[in-house]
Amino acid sequence: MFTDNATYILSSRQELEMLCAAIFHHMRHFGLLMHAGTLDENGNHQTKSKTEAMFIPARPMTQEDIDAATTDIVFGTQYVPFTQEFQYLGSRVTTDLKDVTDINNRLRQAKGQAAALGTFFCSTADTWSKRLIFLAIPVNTALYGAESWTLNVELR
Amino acid sequence: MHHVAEYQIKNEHIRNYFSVPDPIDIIQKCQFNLLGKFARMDPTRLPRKFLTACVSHPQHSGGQHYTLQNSYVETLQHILPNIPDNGTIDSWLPLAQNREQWKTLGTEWIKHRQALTIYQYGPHPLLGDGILDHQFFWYLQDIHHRFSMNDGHV
Repeated sequence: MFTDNATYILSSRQELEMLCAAIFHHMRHFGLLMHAGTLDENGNHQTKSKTEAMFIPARPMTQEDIDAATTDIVFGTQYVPFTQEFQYLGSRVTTDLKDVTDINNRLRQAKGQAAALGTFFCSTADTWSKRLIFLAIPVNTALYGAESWTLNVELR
Repeated sequence: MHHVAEYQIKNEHIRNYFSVPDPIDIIQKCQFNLLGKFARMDPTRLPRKFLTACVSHPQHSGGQHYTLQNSYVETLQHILPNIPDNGTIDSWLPLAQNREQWKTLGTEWIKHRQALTIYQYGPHPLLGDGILDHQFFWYLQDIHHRFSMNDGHV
């Protein structure tokens, strides 16, 4: 738990179903609102859910099995959908637990920053200042959280 | 951008010109610093527990072969000599207790790596010397000495 963000790691869907309702009601005692989506009387999605669940298969599964395991968690008139990708504290977590998506996202942000600084890099400012700005902004953005990346051959 | 192909300008030439280390080296140095922090933590804290945790059951088929542990061990092996392939914690944990020494090891290593790139690629004739930091000249001399002493191996 970090300020008003929380992550729970559970080992089965049954645990998740039980915990969703429990967390929703428990957190209300502390004034914390779990942003689950709401369903209308026909069971259709009425409002979008900010809270999301992610299924990380322990071993390779067929798409049918994955689809069956990732239907919405419903408790009362609330629901929590499953997602393939979740951004938590700036880092993207995917169901395959690989860092490729997170790294590509960081690189995209850094490219955008480098492009925005294009006028400065083409200006008459001295090269040392340009180097310092380059290291401080795009490089720092690209390598934020790099300590936890698994640098395999593909990523290198 | 036709200059890049025409004059065979490599990434290393650009990095040498601007005196910027290889991003992979920066990442490995960050990982090295983080490992030092984990090592100095109280053994009851979760990150430290993760560092020394051991999974008892065998790996699932189809699982990842190259894990974060392998990545950390490779980083340690790059920076510290004599780290075994399993990266046993006894081989580097005592060294990590001294924060300043650990930090110096990482800093010196990245400077050596940068100097090695300068030694291997040198300045590009079109770009010139660039803004090379004067501190690299000592490392360049050191690498030149080791290169000549070790029969072409640094």
